[in-house]
Amino acid sequence: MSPPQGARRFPWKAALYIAGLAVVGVLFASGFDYYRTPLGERAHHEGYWSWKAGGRVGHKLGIAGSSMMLLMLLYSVRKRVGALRRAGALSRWLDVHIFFGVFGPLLVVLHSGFKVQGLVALSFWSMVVVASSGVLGRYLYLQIPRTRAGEALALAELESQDRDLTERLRAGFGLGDAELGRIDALVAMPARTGLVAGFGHMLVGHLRLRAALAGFARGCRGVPRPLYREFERVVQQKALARRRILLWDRMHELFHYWHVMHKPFALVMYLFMAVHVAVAVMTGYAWGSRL
Amino acid sequence: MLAVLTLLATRSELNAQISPGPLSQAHAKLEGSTQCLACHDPGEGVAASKCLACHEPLRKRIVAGKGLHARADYRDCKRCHVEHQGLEFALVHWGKQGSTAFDHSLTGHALAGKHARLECSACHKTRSFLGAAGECSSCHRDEHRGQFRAACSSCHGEQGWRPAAGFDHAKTSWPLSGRHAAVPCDRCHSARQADPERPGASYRIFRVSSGRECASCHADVHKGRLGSSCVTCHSTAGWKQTRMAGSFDHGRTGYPLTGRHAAVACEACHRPGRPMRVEHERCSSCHEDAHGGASQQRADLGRCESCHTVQEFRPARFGPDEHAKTAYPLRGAHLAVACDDCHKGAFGAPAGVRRASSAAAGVVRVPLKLAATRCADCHRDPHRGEAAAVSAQAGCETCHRVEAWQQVGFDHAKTRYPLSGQHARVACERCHGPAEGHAALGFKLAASECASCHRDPHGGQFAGPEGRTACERCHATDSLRATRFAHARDSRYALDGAHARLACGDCHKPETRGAISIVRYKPLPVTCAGCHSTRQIAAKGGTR
Repeated sequence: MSPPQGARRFPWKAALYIAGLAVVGVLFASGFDYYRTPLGERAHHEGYWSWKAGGRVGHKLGIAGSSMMLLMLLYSVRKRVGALRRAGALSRWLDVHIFFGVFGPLLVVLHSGFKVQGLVALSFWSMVVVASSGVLGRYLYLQIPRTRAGEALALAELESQDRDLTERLRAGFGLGDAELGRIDALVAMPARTGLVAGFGHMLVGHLRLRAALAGFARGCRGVPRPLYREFERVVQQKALARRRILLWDRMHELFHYWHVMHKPFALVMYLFMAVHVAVAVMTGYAWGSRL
Repeated sequence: MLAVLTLLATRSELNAQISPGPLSQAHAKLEGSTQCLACHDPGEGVAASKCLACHEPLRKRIVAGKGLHARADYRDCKRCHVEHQGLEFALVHWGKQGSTAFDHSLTGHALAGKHARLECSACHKTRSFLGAAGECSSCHRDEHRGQFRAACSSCHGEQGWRPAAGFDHAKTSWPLSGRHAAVPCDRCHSARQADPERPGASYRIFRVSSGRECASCHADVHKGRLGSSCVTCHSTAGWKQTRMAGSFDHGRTGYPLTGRHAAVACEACHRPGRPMRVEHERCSSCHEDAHGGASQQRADLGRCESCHTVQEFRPARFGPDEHAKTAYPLRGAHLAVACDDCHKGAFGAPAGVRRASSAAAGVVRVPLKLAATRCADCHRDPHRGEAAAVSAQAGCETCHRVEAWQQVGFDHAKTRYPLSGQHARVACERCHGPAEGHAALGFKLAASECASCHRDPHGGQFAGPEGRTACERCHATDSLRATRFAHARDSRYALDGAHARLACGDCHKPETRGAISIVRYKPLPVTCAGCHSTRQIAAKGGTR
């Protein structure tokens, strides 16, 4: 049952991120004195037996962080296993994937005590790359219009959406061809833009476009004051749809390449994390060990 | 991916990468991923049992309950000895204050005194800090070279080698007492023995088996006179703190005590705090000269023993014979007079008192030379100066003799009243009157009349016109009988005839006149009829 129209939904996602950041902040503040101690002197720090990687707190941070990163794999499983197609919207799984992808590495960073060396460093830096690429991937993901369930829209569907928005501006707010042409001009890009140049254009244009559209909206004098907010939002959606149509090919190609980078690093991370955990367990740092 | 593959291909590099960090120098031989389990245990992590499997000496100490690691809170090796911190990382961390702040008592061997200020390396010669035995001999050389069997700590403390505060000489066979206890050790234990192991070095001999006689340390100030057993009189309380009373035989000294000296308290001569030796050659060393030095003019220079003995100061042996040699020989009754009747002693505290006790008790001063030798200097004049004129010429001896007061040599004939007859036999007091002793004996009588001594038995029958009775007309001093009376001469009635044969009483009849009884001598009748009757007269034919 969907919430009633107009009622504000509790921002669960924001709340979880705020709570997670608070926990990480408290942990970082608690271990700050230990973290800022030079490596050669940490063994003599009073917080050594708590905050070192195998310490009372550090060990649990490692377990929690690595557990989160293992849970991230549920998103891949959900995406690939057909039997799980009904197990919630894919976008929700992605939210979970991203949440664990943010806080798992942060906890692992605290677990490491900012001391990265040895074999586990590969896992660590892989994690950094994977997490960083996840941020990029999330951006690219947003550039590809999707259904509510998270399925990507086809180009035709996107063009149909553009047409609807054009008609709404024309009929609802009285925009003529000239004004609509100006919106198209704001999002236009060179016809033969390369993959990387197009991505850069998109990033830069994304920032410029918001200001340009705001200026355009202010220039349209005929829009009634009460409808101005709606007008401005529709103009933005129109411009975004238009740019997505223009970048549709490139975004799909870019997203493909992103996967090629994201997954191997994730694999390396998991591989060496597994080795690290195995060594830790073998040397007496299993769950419940007397540390 | 390339890096991963490179690592996987290079096994040794991979091994190194598994480790969280290089091991310390001491454990460097355990480096390598294949040796993780040499120290780590899957169940216990870095188990102490694994450490002790290599550190066998430490394990033995823990089993024996010795040392720091035997303590329950020091059993987990990794808590202190943190590993994987680098090759140069020190496995023993002493904290910010360094090793000097380490509480060594945690090891079961608390450090104090000089030990507490030592560097660790002074005792611990090994990196493991093991091997430093608790016995003193493990670090210190036996300075006594085996003279003592007791543990060093029974005498010496950690504060320093000297003084040996724990050493109790009382527990030895030669307990120290009194002044001995304050004598520095080396005053008695001065002997040293050359150390055979260290040329040029020597050690002090403490175990003394001989030479415990006092004379081995002390000089005999008595020169052997009092024997060799000093303790008979002296104690360790001090040379002057003697205990001679009762047991000391003073006869063995140069001054045997006899007479009153034997009863004198030791302290009276041997004053506390003064040298024991007392000058005794002359009595005056102790005694004040009671005669004020007067005797020193004698030939013997006033040696007291010439007159006095140690039995008593009085009486002196200075008798009449000795007195006879003086300017005042004693004769007569003076021979029986006690000395101090003339040489009167007086108590006083003259200057130059030698003995405090004498000063306190007072000193008898007995003058030997009297200022004068006149009788009046000693004797009171019982004549109240009446004989002054006589005694001024020849003294009291004009009348008295020194043999006795009563032996008077007075010639009454030289007075205005020579004694004769019975008077010569009458005691002086009969005339001069009794007095209190002879003190108030008067000589000059107010009158020399008979009546001043004798009562007139005649009731004044013979008194002259002036009232005086001239007794001497009838009586002499040799008898009361009227030997000088001649009836024919001295009366108006001469006796003749039968009258001459009559007894006096036939005519002179007693009568009572007033309160006295007298014999009537006159007036009597001188006629016959005054006595005879008429018939008698007639018969006799008399006529008178």
